[in-house]
Amino acid sequence: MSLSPSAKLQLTDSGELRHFLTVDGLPKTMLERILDTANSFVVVGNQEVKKVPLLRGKTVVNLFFENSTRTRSTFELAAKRLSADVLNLDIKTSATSKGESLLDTLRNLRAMHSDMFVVRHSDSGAPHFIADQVTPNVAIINAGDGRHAHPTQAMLDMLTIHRHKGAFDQLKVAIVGDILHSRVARDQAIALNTLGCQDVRFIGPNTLLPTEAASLGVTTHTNMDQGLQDVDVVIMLRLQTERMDSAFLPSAGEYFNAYGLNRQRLAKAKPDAIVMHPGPINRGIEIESEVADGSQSLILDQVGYGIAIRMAVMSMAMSGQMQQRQSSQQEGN
Amino acid sequence: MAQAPQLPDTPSLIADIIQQVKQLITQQQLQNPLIIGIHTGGAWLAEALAAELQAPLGKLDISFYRDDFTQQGLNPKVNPSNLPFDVNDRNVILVDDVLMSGRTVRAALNEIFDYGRPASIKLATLCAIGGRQLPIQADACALQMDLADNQYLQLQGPTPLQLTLIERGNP
Amino acid sequence: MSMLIRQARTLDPQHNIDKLQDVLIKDGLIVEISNHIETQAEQIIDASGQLLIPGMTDLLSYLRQPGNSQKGTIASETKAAASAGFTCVAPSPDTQPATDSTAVLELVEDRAAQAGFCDLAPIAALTQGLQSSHLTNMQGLSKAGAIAFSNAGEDINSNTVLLRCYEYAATFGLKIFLQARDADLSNGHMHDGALATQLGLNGIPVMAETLAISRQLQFIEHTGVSAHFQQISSASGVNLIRQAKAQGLPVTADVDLAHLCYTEAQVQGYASQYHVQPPLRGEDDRQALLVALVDGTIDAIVSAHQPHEAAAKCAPFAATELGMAMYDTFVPLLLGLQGQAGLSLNQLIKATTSTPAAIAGQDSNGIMVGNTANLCLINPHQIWTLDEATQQSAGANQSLQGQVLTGRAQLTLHRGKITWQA
Repeated sequence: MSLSPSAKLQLTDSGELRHFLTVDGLPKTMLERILDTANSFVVVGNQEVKKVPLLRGKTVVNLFFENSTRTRSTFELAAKRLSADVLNLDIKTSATSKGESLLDTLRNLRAMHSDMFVVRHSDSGAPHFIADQVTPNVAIINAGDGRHAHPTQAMLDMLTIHRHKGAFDQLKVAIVGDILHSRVARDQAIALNTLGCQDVRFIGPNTLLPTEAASLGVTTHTNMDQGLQDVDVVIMLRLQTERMDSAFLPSAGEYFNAYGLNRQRLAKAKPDAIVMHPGPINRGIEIESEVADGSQSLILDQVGYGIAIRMAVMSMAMSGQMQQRQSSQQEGN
Repeated sequence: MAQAPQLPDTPSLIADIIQQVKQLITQQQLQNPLIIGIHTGGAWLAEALAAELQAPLGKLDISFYRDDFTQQGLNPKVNPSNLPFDVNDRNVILVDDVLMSGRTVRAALNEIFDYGRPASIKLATLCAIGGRQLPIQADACALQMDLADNQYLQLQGPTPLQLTLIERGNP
Repeated sequence: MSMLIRQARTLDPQHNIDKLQDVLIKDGLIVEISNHIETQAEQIIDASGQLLIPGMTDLLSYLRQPGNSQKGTIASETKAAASAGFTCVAPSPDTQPATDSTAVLELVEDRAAQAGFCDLAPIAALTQGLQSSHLTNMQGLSKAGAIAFSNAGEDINSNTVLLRCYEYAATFGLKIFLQARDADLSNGHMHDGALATQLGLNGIPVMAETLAISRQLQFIEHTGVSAHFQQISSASGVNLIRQAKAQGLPVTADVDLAHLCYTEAQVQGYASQYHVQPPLRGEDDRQALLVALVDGTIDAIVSAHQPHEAAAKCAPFAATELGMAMYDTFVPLLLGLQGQAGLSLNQLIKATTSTPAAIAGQDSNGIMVGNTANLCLINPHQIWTLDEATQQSAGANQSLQGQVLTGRAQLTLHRGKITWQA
């Protein structure tokens, strides 16, 4: 079996996870292992003692080149529950010195013998670049790059679906909103396909749908009522208000009229359909409050699963990275 | 090659260990002991002990506390640890099926101390075989034996419980 | 000095020459061509099995001086050009400062003359500082040696300015070189297709090219200016050029070698060496470009050589600088195109020698008695590895670094002088 370039970079020679950059290219068995491991950590999160010593003595650096207190907090909490030492770095970059300052920062951190970088960057492929060319011996976890990927968010959504709906193969899933700029939608679609889901739909206006979306194994719908027909899962995406400034959309009001999730629209889905949203919610723009807070909404459950998923991929990648280091040391001897 | 050693039958071993634990409790005056079993063989044995002694039962999965995690990876199906009681100032009987390197017991001790500070911990194992790597010994043990390098023991179950000798391929 | 090149397959498409010949060079000129030359020479080269072609002419190259000598110098890059068989190079005006004055132009020409590897056919800036607002002194620049005027990669947004540029150039019979790309729609990092969606990179649609070509053609038709389109990248772009030529508009076109060899698929894994503008497009587009060379819609092949220091390509994809260093791999890549879409060696050599020379208004450098000895001897079968020892360009952005290649220039003569010998 020939592996895709992204799979080669993310897996050790024996197929263990060593970086987590995107779900693209990872085999089904690996995604299932992430979900199983995360399930174990969900239990840890419910225990009185929420901390385990797996990453004791390891240094995890949260490298955020783009602000996101919310995402950073969940990674920080996950690392601390694994007993790692955590360093948070928020790095402001000017557009002109992007490349150089990134390299300098990384070389400094490598010199400090960090074991894992959690990277958030506004450029697609930045974590990939770091894993491939800068610090291959540091486990890299992608916490969102450009509009490329946000694999831990996608996997926490998979965990949410899995825990509430079971097997993926019979499910119909709709992903609604600003697909074009979403770093999550792409990974969600790929993860759903990999896990066996046969019916994934992107719903949004043409200005917010990506080129050749079909290549991601999805169908596209511009009419929301049609797109939601009989679905089991509705994933709403967050709409950035700056989309209105760059002519993707006329106004929030008009967007809500066409693509906002309200009770009437949700009624097109199956009666037991679940509603998800990565947060923070723009109430009245993507989703009506009554739906967001309603019985079908799992928006708050997602937050807890997020920590478990991050604990799972962090411990798996650290283990894979250490195994790779040991086996290359042995080869060197 | 040496003949595989004969194992005593499992029910009598279990009866023996129950007897030893009872003696231990009496001799050491362990008030209201808690029984904590280590997944999976130790937990089965602990169930039997707790039923016999009418003592509270807890279970530990020490996967998250293993020290070989960076060599062996993480077991994706970790059972929840469940200690439905406060361990502070209590006497604990820690139960496992087989004591060998002592690393599993070390991990279990660490995990228990994350829950609190017990007054004492005693170790009961169905059998103990050679190869200790840590200064850990059982306080109660029904069977002591030495095995070849390619052999190990495992308690299979849950019904019936059966101590089994397993041989890896030719070393 | 005299040199005798024996028994090379002598190929000069412009003069329909393709046979085994002996060629005698004396005092910078070709003095005799025949089946067998008895005359002795100071240097005799047994070239059997090799290919002797006219020195190649490159209509687009970035020599990096003035302004960016950390990426390469006129001396290093014209030497690299010579090592790929070029004897004439048209440098882009995209220097710092831009080549918009005779002072800069003369500096560039002087440096090239000092180095002595290639003739220059400099392209001067169409607007001052390539800022798209004020015309340059086109007449003066033309007298100082500029063969054409270009706004390089900068799209002239104002129709008024564009109209005046072309009217003014047409007044004096000056030629325009242009890279047709709509600035607005070119605000991306790779071809707008499935892979861009997968990698999360902003796409550049084919329309960025077709829209600009259509617009430019209207200005060309209106003003009658003679124009040369550079780096056509798409099948739809080819069709527009084909139609314009059929209408009789005074246009020619080129394609860069990378677009004939590679597609967007190279970008997989965020390979920043392939971050270029216009972007590498789909396989259908590549095939259409090859066909356009066969049927003459596209006239010339250029290198679009853009050397960079290593740091320029060492960053997340979108933050890396544009362009590939091409000279070191030019010959093996060019020879590798033989037979693709029916492309003959003859057509490939024509598109890199006489045709671009004519577009640049240079003297014909054909292999004829009495002509200046601008020649290149290629061993099409030589197997070699591109590494630090063999690399000539200062550019660290080599797409095929460390790879084994087939075909290499053995000898380049510029005005009879050896500028390259492998």
